[in-house]
Amino acid sequence: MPEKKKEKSVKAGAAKKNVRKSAAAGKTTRKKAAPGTAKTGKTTPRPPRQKPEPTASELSLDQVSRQYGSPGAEYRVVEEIPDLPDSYGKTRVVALMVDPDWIHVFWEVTDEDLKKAKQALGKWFESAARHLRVKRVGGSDDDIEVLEQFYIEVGEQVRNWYLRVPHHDAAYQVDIGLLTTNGDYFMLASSNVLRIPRNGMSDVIDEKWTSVAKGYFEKIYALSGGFQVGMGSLQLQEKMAEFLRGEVSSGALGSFALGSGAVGAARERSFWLRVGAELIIYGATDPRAKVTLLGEPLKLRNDGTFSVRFALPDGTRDIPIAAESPDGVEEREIDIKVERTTDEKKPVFK
Amino acid sequence: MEKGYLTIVLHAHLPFIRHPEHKEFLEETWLFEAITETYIPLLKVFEGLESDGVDFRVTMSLTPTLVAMLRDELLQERYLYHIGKLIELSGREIVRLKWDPKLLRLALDYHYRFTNARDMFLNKYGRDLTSGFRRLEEAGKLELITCAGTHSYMPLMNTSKRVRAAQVTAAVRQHEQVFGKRPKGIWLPECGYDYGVDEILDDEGIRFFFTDTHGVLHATPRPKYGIFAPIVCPSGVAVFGRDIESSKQVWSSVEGYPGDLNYRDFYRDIGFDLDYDYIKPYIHPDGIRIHTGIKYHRITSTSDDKDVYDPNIANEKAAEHAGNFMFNRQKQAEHLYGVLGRKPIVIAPYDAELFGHWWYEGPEWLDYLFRKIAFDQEAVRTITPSEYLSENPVNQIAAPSPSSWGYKGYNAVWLDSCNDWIYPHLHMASDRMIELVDLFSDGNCDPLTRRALNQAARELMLSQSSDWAFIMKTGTVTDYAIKRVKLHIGIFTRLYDEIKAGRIDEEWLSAVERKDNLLPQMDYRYYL
Repeated sequence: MPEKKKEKSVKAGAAKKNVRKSAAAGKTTRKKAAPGTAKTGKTTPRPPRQKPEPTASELSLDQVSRQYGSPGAEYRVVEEIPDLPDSYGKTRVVALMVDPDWIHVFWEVTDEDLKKAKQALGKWFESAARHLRVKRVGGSDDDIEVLEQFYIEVGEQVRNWYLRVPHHDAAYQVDIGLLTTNGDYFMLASSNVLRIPRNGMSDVIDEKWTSVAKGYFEKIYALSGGFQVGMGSLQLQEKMAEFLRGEVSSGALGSFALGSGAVGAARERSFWLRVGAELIIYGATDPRAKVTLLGEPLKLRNDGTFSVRFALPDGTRDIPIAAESPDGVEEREIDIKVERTTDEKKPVFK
Repeated sequence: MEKGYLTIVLHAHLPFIRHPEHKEFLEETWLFEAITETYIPLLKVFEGLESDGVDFRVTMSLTPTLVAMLRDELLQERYLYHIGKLIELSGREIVRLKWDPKLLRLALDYHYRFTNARDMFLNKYGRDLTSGFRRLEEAGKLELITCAGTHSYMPLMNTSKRVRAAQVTAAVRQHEQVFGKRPKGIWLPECGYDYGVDEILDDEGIRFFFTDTHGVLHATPRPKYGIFAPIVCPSGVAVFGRDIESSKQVWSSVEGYPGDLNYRDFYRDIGFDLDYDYIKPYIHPDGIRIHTGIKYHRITSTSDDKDVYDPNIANEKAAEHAGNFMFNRQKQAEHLYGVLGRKPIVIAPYDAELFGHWWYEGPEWLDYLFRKIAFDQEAVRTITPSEYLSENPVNQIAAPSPSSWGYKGYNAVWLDSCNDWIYPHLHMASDRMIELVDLFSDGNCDPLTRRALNQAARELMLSQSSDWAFIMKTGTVTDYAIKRVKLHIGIFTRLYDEIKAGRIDEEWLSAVERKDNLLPQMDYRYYL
């Protein structure tokens, strides 16, 4: 697809007439009368400040909008971002692993199911308290066996919990229910079975994939983990656990969206001051004049004004600005001399 | 003969961000920055290597959301506008810096880079950068792998196999359509592996994936070769574990290459440094200063004092660091070969956007690295995972451990007091998607309902992007991430209600389709 042609601006000298269309914006700008010094003997009046013409890139943003649909109702799929509901009218519990030491559980209990509980528990309902029942389970998916369990009381307003995992390399299931004062548990819902991995090297060894060399696995583990070879397995495990809490991961530098990951040395934010200096040279002449700055041609705006901006380092600079009349007969020159020095003082502590 | 292999994996990802309802949108610039600073420079490096006859292998994942944006006409057009502004700004800088030759040199270089980027984007790649990557794969230098549909974090989508599977199916179908063949490998989002994920991959014909170091190292039974050979899950899918040493050398914020004081400083951007009146047209329309991408300083020190960037010195550093990296890989390969009695493979995965964006000299480093590996040594050979597996087909069967490459190695980054509130909503929406899909499981529904079901799937997937939880955790553009989750769950819920009621608002649905237009081939039956 060929790139869009840039809008051409009308040549400044094309018409002496006052009115000239600005191509893109569709506005008209009034061109002041060509300065006529000879007739009246007065100095040429300074032209009023004009709004700069839209640049090519500003134009294309409008064009983009026009071509692909200007922002409007058809792309607004919602007027306001909707709020998420507090509850979904379904009693359920879900268990998620944070890491081998922590499980996160969230739940919802509907009023309907509480009513059913009330009916079932009768007089024991009032004094019953909401509890999570955390079960370590074994067996298969169809035949879950509870190996051990414990209870955690949770308030009625509470909807989620972080609980500490007693054993690695185990499976857990969490129920939400009511524990009565005589020790009965009325289960309202049960979670998915969550398997927690081992937080270290497996103790299962495949005979076909092993080595008789002493300390072989420790060596491999150390090499894989970037640790010093020669450590015992307990020490290695500790090192690995340390490493897993450490810095080498995508979190350290972060993915693109992060935006804050500091590459390289962390920034010390002590007190600071930064100062720069720039020079703006601006002026005006007959719009048809030929102007140079430092000997190089300088482009005038349609109204004969110009401005140039420079970073101004230390040093002295002579800046001659010269203009030649449109009929080539007369030359004018103004020289500006600028000096910059910078004195960075030592910090003063009050 | 080589003593070992090196697999460099570049994971290129951006969340789906497209706002046609606004003329300009700040977060869309992430894409534009990545195009200018990462994707085009990487393509240039790889094409340069190719044309210079340097043999190399690199592996890349381009996520479905990134691919969708790279191929979207509106975003392509907005990129042209964006780079046009940078060309203009760098042009003005050339005038402004007339009296400062050190800065002038840098402005000229930026002007060249921007004009070159625009030229390549428009004329060489016809606005679609995916074509460049596809061609490199066809030339045999690059292996393209996929990622989940919207970069969803699998370990926390643990209550439904079907919901996980749909993310993978959507990705594989898009990959096939865009790159012309089914991917053999996948980059799990954040290397998030959980029990059962490998079976889903196997169902889609995927032969390998990656985990963080401990995913393989803590496999059951113990992996004989540690992380220096892949293991094979009982399902038959191979797993490669990340190498720590090569990671640290690049990723570490303390000791990694990118922190070298001679490299370009990310923060001293003219968007922040220059006078407001001058820079105003190039920063946020509301007047908030933002990064432009034009930066003139080197890191220099940890304090605020920064010297002017010297590209020659930085380039020399990149060469030196590439040599250092190669040297370390050589020594590593030689040593391991002796210990293992088998050629080790070292897996070095990185976010693609590190190269060029966060680490300006990254692409130069990669260029030097591949050239040095090809000409300066013989111990290490670069390889793609597929090549490795076809040359080394016999590997130990072991079950990997659940893990991720996120901070602390598991799920904590995405499940924390700042972002745990999203999961009740994501899980309910997942359950409801299954419910809808089961209502129409025979595929018999009128076209409007089908459209609504497919869009509901898109909205669910967008809400599942791990990026939102990640942003909430790291606290960057938190409000935006919260809005996105609420928005997509909200749209999904309305579609769910309308589909169940049998009354779909066609005009509204069309507006949603036009806005959230990723994965055009989405089919709700991926959830079956």
